[in-house]
Amino acid sequence: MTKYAFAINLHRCVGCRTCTVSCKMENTVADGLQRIRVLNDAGETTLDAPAGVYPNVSFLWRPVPCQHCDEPPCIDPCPVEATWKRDDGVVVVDKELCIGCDSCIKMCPYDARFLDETAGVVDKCDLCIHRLSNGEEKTMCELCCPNRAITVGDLDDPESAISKIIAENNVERYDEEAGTQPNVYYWWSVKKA
Amino acid sequence: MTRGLTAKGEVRPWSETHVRNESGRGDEGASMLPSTSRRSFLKLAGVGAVAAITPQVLTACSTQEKATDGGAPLGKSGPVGTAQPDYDRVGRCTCAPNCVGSCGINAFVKDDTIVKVEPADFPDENYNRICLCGISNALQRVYSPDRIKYPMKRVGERGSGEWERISWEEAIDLICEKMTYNIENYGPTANSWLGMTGNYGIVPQCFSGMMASTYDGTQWTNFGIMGDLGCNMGWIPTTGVQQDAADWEDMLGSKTIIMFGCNYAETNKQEMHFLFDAQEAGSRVIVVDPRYSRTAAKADVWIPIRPGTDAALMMGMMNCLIADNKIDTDYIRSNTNGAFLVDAATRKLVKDGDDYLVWDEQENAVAKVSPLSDDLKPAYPSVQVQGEVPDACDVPDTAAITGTYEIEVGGEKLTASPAFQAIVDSVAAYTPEVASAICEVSVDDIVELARAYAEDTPAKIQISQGTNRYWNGHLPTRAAIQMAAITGNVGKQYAGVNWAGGGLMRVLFSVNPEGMAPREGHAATALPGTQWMDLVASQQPHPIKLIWFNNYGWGTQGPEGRKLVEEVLPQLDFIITTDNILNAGAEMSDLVLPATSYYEEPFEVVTAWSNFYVQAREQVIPPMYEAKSDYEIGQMVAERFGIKDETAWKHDAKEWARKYVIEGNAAPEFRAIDFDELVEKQVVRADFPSPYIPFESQRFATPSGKLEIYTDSLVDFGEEVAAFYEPAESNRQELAAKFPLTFMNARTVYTTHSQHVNLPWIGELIPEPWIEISTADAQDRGIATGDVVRVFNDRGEYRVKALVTEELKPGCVNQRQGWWPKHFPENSHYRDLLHMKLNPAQDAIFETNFAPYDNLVEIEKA
Repeated sequence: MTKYAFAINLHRCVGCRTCTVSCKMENTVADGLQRIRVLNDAGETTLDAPAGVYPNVSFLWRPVPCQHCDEPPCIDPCPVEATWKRDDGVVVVDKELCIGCDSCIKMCPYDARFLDETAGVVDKCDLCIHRLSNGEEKTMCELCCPNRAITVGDLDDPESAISKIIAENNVERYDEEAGTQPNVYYWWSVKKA
Repeated sequence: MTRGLTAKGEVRPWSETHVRNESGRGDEGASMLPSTSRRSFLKLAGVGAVAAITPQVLTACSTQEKATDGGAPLGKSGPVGTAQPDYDRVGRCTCAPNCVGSCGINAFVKDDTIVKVEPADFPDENYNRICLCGISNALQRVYSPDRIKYPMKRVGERGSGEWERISWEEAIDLICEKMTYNIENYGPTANSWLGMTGNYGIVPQCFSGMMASTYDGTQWTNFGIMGDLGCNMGWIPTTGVQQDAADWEDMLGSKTIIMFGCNYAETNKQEMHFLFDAQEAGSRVIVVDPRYSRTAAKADVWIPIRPGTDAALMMGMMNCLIADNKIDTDYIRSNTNGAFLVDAATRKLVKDGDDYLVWDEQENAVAKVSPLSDDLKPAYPSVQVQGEVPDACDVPDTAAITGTYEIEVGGEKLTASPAFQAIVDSVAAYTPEVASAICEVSVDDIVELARAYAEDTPAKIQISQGTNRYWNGHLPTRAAIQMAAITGNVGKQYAGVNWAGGGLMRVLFSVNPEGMAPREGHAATALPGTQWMDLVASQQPHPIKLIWFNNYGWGTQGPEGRKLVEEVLPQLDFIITTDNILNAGAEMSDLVLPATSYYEEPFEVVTAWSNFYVQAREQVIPPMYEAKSDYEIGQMVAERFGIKDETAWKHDAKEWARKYVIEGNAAPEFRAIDFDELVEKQVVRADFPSPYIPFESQRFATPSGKLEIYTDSLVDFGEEVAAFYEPAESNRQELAAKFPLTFMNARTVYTTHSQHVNLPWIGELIPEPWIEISTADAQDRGIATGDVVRVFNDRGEYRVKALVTEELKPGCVNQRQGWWPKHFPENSHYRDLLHMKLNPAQDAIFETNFAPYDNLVEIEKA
């Protein structure tokens, strides 16, 4: 089996949002919308400012794509069964079926789903499954990240880069207490002093 | 180093950084700018202008019928589209704004339209990269509604925005008419050219010189006015070259990396991964910066420093190194001019004929050291050396490097000391306590920095633009080179002082002169670009009636905005701007010409600061509208003047590159490239050593051939050795009582200077300009985030929204640069606040460097 997941090295993320923009290009994401948002300390995607008081300050940027949860709370509420979790772990939306209601959007604890008003459908990260299923090795955000912070791979393959990252490092998952079993693993390649 | 070390970020609890944020920026009230948290998605939708062409990229997740779920398990899978957009070809381009990274870009093209881009391959995959600027450029700047589409002649008042579309033929006729009138009435130097760096192709960067030399006009030098010359002027007196750096992968192997004024995470984001690689391999990264930059945020240690005082910090470090005898006396004696005797009275090096003198302690007498002859030195930009160094050029092992000696030269008695003694004397005053008081860095931090540099080796110094942008901006690099020299760190792997480097400047300096001056028997008159405004305003030393800008956001990226509008432009009869975009400079012109983008040029050769790859840029899409390359425009002018066939303009762009950039290059390392192979592969490494270690030969292009840590041509400026003096507008001078804040203008991670600020995708991240002000300074002035503030000094004022942040050392503000007047309230612009004060020492070395951070301002709520 294949189980896709993200590992994102937060030490290497400088908040440049190349992931965001490359994804917008690759996936024709509508103006003003972002499938992978890079949140700063204030939980925003703009006007980054450090936390703390000068000179004891810190910056944190956290790229937040769909977490492709094992227990995705966004699926059951869909009235038209337009969204589901594939066997390879990717949570997808079929835009032919989606009626653009906000049932799934409001259930996502990660704000990973949003309404593309122009198209009248829900949009979200689909882990560039069109790439991964067609011979491309990397999602667009992984391919374009200048700092090589993003790793996408198969958790079921113990030899995959992502499996090794998870085995060898302390990893954390976002908002884990939501009980959703997210599949984005955040880690730091350089430990904080 | 408690401050630096404790500055590291603690990871906040997950709950505190929870993604849901429904009220904007915490407790700062309503969000100043739309965020993309869900509640404001819709607000943001109207922010950026929609690109003229929105490429249809692909149809991912469109229909289940399309699912081609290769290898995926059965069951619920799909829907998926194809792996790539519908494209008919992929063309390799090189993105080359002034970030100096020159990323290779694969452009996916459908019906002659770029539908997407991906990083292109390099032989070393460490250089496969792209960033949001390059992506936005390809998809949105190329297709920007602000493109200059065809030649346009001004019909209303200057700056009125009233234009008449004209044909290229009419435009070239008009240019020739204006140039000819000036030649006949004022002399050919009345026509002038100022080009910059918006496109790192060879011709766009050299166009000004090529045109000025073809028509005997004035070429404004551009290194100073671009603000990049400060570091070079630390290099020139000591090493004889302008800049150099090791390969970036040389960081892997450094135990300590100390960075002065380097914010690679924002300004060289495609190279930053090398620093992470080094850090993960065990390097300790120390960042010296008044700002908690994104690079500082990733460092192991951050040392906040008072702006413009990095040289004093290094003087303090050298004081420790010498006091603790952590210097490399053999290196100083053999490879630098530290043993050369200096006349105590004149402070000039003592010469006996052509020879330098040293004091031989064994013989108790002077000994001669001959200068290395030029044919034995590397001829920059080459690093190759020939022949053996004659014994006469070697300093005896028993030569003194300190002390004072009574000597006799040519029958004259004088008191002399080895040059290194001058360094010992000059840094003696910079005890850690003194340096601490100047730099506002703790004594402990200075002592620890010196210890780390000397003991946790190999230790590398990186120095860059942050130090460049003060009026005394050559001093830090001079100090860094001196510090590396006295510790034997020059020419050493994983060490050295690193600034710029790679092939970028090297190739420009080595293009065959017949290509650079395309018309035999004709030459340009160079004038210092840092003085272009004053010289035009005063019409000195000769009349200047026409200026032609290319490759330059001259409307925003310079100093003295008021002077420009009120005193300079009125002196000019004709202003031509060639650009992609109708920007602030183009708007003030009399004639604008549409330039091709990187993707449209017929052919270019592009190099980078970070590596020795040479890339051939072939045309990927046909020119948009009526755009033409600088080279084509130059050819049309030559044709109109009836001289094309007798000049180098007769070659097409590719042939010009073959003859002059590669096959006729002055450096054997570039000549070694097979041009046809370059065209075929589009990326070939020039034949520089790998790994590349600057000054590995220990032969320097200086008068003596040594690393000249003593420069007697700078005695009159008190800069014969590394020195420190305050910035022009130091925050400790009297002026600071009136204008207490140091006005930095660093760029963001989202832009390269003015090139990307108005692109829709960039606009989602930075919808409008802001000025960063520290919490302490904001509180003193009753300023909150989102307030419109008035920023002013005696030179001018502008208005902008404030972002209150803990990122800055109090006393500093930071206007993120690159914005155009139209982005600020009342079309005001910060360039009005910036001075262009000349620095006599810099003018003696080369040319004063524009110092955009070295300006004091005050801020008040508007």
